[in-house]
Amino acid sequence: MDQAVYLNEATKRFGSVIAVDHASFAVEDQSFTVLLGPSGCGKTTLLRSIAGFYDLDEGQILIKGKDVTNVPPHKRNTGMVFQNYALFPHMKVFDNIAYGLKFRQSPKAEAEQRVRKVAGMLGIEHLLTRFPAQLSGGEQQRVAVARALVIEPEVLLLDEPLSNLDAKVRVRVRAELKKIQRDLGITAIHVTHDQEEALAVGDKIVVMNKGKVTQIGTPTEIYFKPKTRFVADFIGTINLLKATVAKTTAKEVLLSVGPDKILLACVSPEVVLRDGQEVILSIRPENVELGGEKPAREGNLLRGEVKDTIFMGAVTRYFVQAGGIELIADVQGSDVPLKGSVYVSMDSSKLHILPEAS
Amino acid sequence: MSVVIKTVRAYLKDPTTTGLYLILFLFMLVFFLWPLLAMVLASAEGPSGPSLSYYTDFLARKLLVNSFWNSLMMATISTASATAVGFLFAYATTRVDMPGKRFFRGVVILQLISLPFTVGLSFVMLFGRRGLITYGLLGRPFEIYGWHGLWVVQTLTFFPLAYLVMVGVLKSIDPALEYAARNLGAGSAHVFRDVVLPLSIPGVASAALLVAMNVLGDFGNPALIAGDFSVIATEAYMQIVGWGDFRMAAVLCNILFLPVFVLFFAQKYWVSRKLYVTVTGAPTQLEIKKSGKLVKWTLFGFCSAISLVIVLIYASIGLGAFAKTWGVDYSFTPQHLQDVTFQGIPAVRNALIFSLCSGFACAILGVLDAYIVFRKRMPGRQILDFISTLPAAVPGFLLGIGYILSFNTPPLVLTATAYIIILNNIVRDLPTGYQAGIAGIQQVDVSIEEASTNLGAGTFQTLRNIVVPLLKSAFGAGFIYAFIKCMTTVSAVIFLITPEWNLPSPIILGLAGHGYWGQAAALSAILLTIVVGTLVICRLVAGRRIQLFEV
Repeated sequence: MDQAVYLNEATKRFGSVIAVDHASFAVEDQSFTVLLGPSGCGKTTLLRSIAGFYDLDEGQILIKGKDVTNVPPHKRNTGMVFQNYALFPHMKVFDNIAYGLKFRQSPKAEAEQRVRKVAGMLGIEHLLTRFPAQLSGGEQQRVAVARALVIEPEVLLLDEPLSNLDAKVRVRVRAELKKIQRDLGITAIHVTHDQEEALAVGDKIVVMNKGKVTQIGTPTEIYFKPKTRFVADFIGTINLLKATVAKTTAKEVLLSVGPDKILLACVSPEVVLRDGQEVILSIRPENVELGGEKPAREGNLLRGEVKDTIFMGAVTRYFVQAGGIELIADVQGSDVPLKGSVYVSMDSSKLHILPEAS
Repeated sequence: MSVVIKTVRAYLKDPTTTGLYLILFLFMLVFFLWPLLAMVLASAEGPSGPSLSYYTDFLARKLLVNSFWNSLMMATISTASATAVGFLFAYATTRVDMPGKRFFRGVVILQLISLPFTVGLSFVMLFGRRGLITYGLLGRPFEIYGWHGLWVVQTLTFFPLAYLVMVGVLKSIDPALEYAARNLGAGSAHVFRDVVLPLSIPGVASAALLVAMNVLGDFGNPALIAGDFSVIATEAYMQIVGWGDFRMAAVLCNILFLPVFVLFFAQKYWVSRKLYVTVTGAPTQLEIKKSGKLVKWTLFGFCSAISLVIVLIYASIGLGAFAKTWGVDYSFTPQHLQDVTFQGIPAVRNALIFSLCSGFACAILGVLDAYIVFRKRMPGRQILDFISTLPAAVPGFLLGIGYILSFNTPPLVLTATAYIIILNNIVRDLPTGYQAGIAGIQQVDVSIEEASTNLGAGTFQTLRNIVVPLLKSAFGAGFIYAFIKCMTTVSAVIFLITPEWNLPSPIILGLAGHGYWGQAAALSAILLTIVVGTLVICRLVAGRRIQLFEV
């Protein structure tokens, strides 16, 4: 797979603060990559460094194989969509979109054609003669995307472009963004702190924390197989259990959780475990099964007590005390809520051991 | 070493910014720093090589040493009174629901754009030995000349400056805080003492330092009204005009520069930092809480009294312009207007030319200056920021004398040309244009420029396509401010004018000095009409697009 962007030990400091700490990863060509992390994790700094608004203190940035570390921002051909859209308030929508073409020597007729084409794609042809102040937030956002796309950038940089839209519009627009990216076959890097958004649009997710890249993977990998406690905790709700390795086999491992519970978990081959080792087990609430009657599955079965219930619409969330451990379980569509004593069972393939040293 | 390489690389990457940096640095070096340095050099040169003989001479002359202490004393008491009046005015117009606010604001704006010595001139006419009020109405001899007269005059002249600073601060204090305090049980007195006052302290300090700098550097009012109470500004003038002693004048300037510089530093790097913290909150739409009757009407009475005096000042100028012989015969005559046309009209024409040139230059340089200091995070921007603000603190007469000392001799001879006056005006008013530029730039989001860069525009193209069009109104404001200041400036140009390139303000001072009150008033009236007219026309043409004197 070709690399659209490659970061090699990219480091950016602001005074004594390390905003981006030796970040290295590749962004595959024509992929939609999401930089995800809490505010202040360095994701925006990294994006702005790719655009060239910050000079790196160490490391290199390559775009399409070319080292651009010292190339000024206006020569990098990256199209950026800013969080507040940054439309030129004194120019009409047409001129906003056409602006970048001024510096690319495209003839007037061709430029106009390209502007109209991209405007058509985003459904904003009827807005071309308006000023940005006369547009709604969603429309402004489309203009900002059109303006970045029309220059046919090597990489499209999206700096939390959805955060100023209301929840419903946001969900629709992110699906459109993803579709446009796929249809045009361009590479996009999208910054967000919204884990749901990241899971929904990303082909790859790069999770960052305190300036460091903590995990890179597909949405399912990030969600179900977090490598660190931070990733597990940051994305959605998760059960984290302290456990001790009791016995390892080729594919599975027996773990003792709490004083007398034994659970079976599958392990990926890269993880090496030894007997007696302390580890952290993770399992998503939707993978914790609850029932009033004993389920058919053998093993990984616990008796528990329902302590609290929250109705959340599609699912009902149970807080269960099972021996010495507390578990959160999401059960779909239970119109008659479970009460009192329940059976708790977990599929061993869904129990994941965090590779991070405990 | 790597720092040097990084710096060089940053400059090479952006030739437009680098070019602008060099132009601005070079300009300020030649026309601002060099004259200041020339003054230090001139004062420290003895008959044979460097010596401090002029300074020991200064210390030996009681009159001169006294003038220094007098300047400090006057600055202290005038600052206290002008700041107090300014604060009450600002508090009353921003946080008290009293009638007549528009009128009070108008009075303040009039004072801000007026000739710097209007108050001095009219006070002599109203309260002098032959004053309309003291001699004409009350029939009592009254001695306005001296420190007490100067004190009142400086208070009335500079309280609007304090007002301008403090209004900004008071406006930024969220009324919600007052509501919160009241909600928690605080009465009006407590709200003021515990919330409003502490939050406005940095503003008060900033205003006070600004006023102090201006009082120290003021020349016109002391020249008219100080009498035997000599201050540095008038002494320096005497040294040059009376004795031709440039070196002693330079010594006086340098000695005055010391306290001014300290005040400037305190204002820029200490108080304004603290100020910034309180000004961040976005203003809310909450209405001002109704204040108590006693507070309301006391403040109203106070503002009315001050405004009445100011109205009286301008009325006396108007009256003086048409009264036959001030102090003796108040019958109507157009004679004075006719008399001043011979000398006055060419001078007013010169002033208009110079002000147009300087206004444009200040506006352009100011906006560019603000842009590269605030947007281009290049090394060395703090220095540029410093030398772009400092001229506002340097007393006019000081820079005027510096200009004579530096541009009288090669390599650059400019004496007796129009250029020297224009350049002097540009340097002195650059801070005005720079401030207007900063205000404008802070209203434009950085990401708009970044978007332009991201789409392929270099610095020059971004400037042309984005920054300049968006900063039109900042440019307009910078131009108007600089234009008005140039029209009325006196202290610096008084050393630079020639019979060929004369200006109205120094002429008025001269006329008043020789007792031609009618002609002085007539020329003042003409000049005031022009500056007020400029402001009114600007308001009518640009409306709210150009924000001037947001008080």
